[in-house]
Amino acid sequence: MTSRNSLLANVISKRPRLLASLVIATLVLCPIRVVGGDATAVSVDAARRVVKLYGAGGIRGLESYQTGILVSPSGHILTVLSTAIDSELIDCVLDDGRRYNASLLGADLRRELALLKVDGDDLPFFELSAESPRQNVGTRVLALSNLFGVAVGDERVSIQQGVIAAHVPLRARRGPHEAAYRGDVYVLDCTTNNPGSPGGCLIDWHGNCVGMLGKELRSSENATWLSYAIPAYELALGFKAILSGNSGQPPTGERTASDFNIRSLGLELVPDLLNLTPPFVEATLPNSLAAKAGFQTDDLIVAVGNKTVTSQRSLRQELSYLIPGDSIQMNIIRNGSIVLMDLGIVPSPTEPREKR
Amino acid sequence: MDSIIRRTVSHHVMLTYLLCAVPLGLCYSDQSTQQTTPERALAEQAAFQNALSGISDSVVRIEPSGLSVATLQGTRSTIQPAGPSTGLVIGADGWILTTEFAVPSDIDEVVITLPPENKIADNLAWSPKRLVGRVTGRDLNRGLVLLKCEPTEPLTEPQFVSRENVRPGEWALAVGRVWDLEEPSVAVGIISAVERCWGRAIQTDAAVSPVNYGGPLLSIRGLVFGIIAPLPVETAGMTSGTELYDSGVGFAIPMYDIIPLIPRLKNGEMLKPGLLGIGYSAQDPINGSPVVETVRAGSPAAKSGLQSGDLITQIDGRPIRRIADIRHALTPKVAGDVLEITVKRMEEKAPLSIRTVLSDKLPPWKRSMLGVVPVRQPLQTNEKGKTEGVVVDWIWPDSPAEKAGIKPQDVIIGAAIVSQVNADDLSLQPIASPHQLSGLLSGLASNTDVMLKIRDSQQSRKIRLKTAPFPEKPLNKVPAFEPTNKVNPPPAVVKLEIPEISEPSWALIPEQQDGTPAGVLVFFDEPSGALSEKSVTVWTSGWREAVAQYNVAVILVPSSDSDSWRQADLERIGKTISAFTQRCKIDPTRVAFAGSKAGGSFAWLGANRFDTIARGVCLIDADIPPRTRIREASPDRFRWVLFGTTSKEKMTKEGSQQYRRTIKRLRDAGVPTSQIPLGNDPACASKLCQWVESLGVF
Repeated sequence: MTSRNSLLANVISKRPRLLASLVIATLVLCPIRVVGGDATAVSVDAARRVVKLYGAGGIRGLESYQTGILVSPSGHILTVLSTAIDSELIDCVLDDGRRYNASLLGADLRRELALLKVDGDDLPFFELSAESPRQNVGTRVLALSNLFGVAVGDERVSIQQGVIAAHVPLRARRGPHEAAYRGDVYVLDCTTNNPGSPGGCLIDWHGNCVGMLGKELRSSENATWLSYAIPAYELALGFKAILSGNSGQPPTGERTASDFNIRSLGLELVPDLLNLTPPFVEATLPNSLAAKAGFQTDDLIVAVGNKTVTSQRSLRQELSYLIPGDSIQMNIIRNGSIVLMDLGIVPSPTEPREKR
Repeated sequence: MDSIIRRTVSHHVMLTYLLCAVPLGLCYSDQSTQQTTPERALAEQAAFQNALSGISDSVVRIEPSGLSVATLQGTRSTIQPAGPSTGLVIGADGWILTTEFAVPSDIDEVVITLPPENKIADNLAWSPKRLVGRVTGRDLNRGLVLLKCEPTEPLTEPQFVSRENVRPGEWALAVGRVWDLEEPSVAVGIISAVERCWGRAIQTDAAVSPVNYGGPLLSIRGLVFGIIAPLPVETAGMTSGTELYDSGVGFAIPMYDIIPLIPRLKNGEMLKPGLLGIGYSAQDPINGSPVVETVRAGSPAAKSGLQSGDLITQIDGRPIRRIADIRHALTPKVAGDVLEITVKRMEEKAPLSIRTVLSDKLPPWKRSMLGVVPVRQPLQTNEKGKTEGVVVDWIWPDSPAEKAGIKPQDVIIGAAIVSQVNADDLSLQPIASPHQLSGLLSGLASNTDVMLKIRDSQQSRKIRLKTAPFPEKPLNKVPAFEPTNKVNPPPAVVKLEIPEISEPSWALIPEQQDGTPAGVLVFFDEPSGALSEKSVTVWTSGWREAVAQYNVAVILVPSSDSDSWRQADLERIGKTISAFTQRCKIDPTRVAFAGSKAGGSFAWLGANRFDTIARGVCLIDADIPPRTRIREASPDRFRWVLFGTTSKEKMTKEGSQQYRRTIKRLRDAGVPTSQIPLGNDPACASKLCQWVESLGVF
């Protein structure tokens, strides 16, 4: 070993160019080396705490298998809520091939998580904490999952590598149905939205569990497929909620729509005749917020706060989230430049409303 | 700039050492070291995050305004911005680069949102800094758009990676500002290749998609390699590069190519792909020898004095060895770019240097002719010495060749365009094959002076003649093939089985014993599904005489459906022709498609699909399909179009007006077109076979 290393050192000092190509060759030939180190070291230990789940489904394009994470030594398993585990009989296979029957303890409908239980003790597990830190964009991660069900028997789950691409609220849909979960997720730059991956474990390069792989979803922003993970702190909250018997309610939209509208601000727009009519101002009502803020005819509204609006429809939608007492800013285009309009505090609904 | 480059180099060397040391150490480590923290992975992670925070201020969000969204609704543009996109600051005074994905050609105004200083909660009470961005210039060759906005404070300019430091295997970070306004997103990969898409793009395996189009592709040091863009690649079925997302293939336009174009984009120019106007003699468009064959009249190539026969050896100092090298050198260029071409011209020893300015449009091209119909030869490479000269078979009546006294059996052994030479013997280009001669002449406008060197039984002489416009009407009578001394067997009906196609095609093949290649007429009748041997025999009976007389094979292609021709049937044309060439030698200058009624419209579509194969199309009692685009004629896809009318169909007044409109459209596009009465079936066969024979004229 020593002689080999000294030989290497010798080569390093003499032949940097040769070595550069050697490195590239190494990078190409050993996929794991590409990610810069020994992924096995950090993932083996984590993989012991990840289980393969086999349940119902297998029809109409719904998979019958997924992944779960052991979260207690006595056999609590957290996974995503799906048709696969909507079953009397759920098979749970550990890293070493041990097979258990799992039962469904409960679900967190808000986070779309399910808690399973197997009869075990002294099992390896991840300790979840609501205080676990938010991971930064650019953090390198490893995703461990029952990807496509290729790992059979006592075979270890598959490992994929990537980085956290973004940390944003989930805005996604699967087919016509929007995802129920609206909290923050880690968007990943690797493709983990595959059969078997849901419920998989996302770890950082220290071996900490930082999240759980989500379902196969499409982004509602740009219709691209979305690979994402639910952050560990949300998992901890979900675990706690299910244990305390609080199943949570499926969200009906965090910001409930109010009856606040464009006219409440004293704005009159050009007639909404197109599918996407631009939000051009036609007039302002006297003594209204809009009049005081200085809106003029032909101003084009382009944003409400930090949300861009491109049509009267999207403007109405953003305004419907306003609650009395909120303050509001808008951006308009006037004479080719963007102008900031400060409308101040949104009036309470008891204030006189303009007639329709 | 120098110092930046030097720093990049030295850092790179350091990085190489770092990268070398760790993986090799790990490769050779034993079991006990596996438990150590993977420091290298974490060090790289820190580098990614540093690079990201360094670029953040230069990465902006681009969104359409309500007005531009409404504009796009009206035009139904093919590319719609599906939401926010990304842009990169390249000038502190408000210059921002993005892609056509964010700013399609129909809109010229967008909303630019600058990165906010702090991450803030999701609310409506706070507006980040927004600016109106106006399109100043576009690079249509790369799909880039330059925007100008008026910031109140200088924007942050990034630093760029120089050409020599963009190398496959380097880390590459794809950054966008679509997911999150407050914090840019990142996807990590490596540079997979450089000089992709014929020299226009860097390729990366970092996840590239609408979330980062327009954003920068960064080095691990945070310098910009290029702008991430959805470039279309030449793969079947792809119309835009957006179809490649999630595939492990992504492209970025390198900054080293963009920077020289910035002044022109700032100046308001629309940069279009740069055209030169040459064709090559070699058949292989990749590995073929870079010998110019056709120089299109009025093109930059013609204006700068490039000549047929020139061997291109260098473009802008880059060595050229194959046609592919020319494409690599030419594709990144835009109209207005100057090209320095070095050529080797015939006997001249010293290489010639030619300077040309590329243009965005070539002048309309109409084929001209001399009126020489050569003896048929199979296609062969233009290697000098293989055959010598072109033997004249017959002369087109009233053509320049007839007037100049060229006779059948004369041999054309040299040619030159007179404006380019001093009528000096040495400057005449030796002619080896009909293909070479027709290539030399095909780019010429009519009324161009040409010098030919001709050898007849006694002597050789030089003749000067002028090209004439290509005829639109076919001849009434062309010379029939003289029977060879042996008696030819009658034409044979042959079944052409193609493995993956259930309805075989049929061919009527003239059996020429001396190996003369046959002309080919691919015929599409009204759709009827699979054809039985009996029906084929009946159908071909009217063709036998003409097929033997003019040595033209007729291939009868069936439709897959008994009621209609389908788009999918187009593919069987190519397969049928290649199956046919296994059986029979063909003359590639005499291949035409023809069809009757629905089959006629289908023949037109087939000729468009196989536009380098079909030299003529005849639509019998049929018009071109509605809403088809008519492409401008060009030397590399010459086409002669006939509209045949049989006596079976009574032409209505309306119908004949429709024909006249189509014929005018085709003629306006430079395509020789005419309408011919075909009478009843047997005469139709003879007329079509004679027309195929006459396609070989130049």
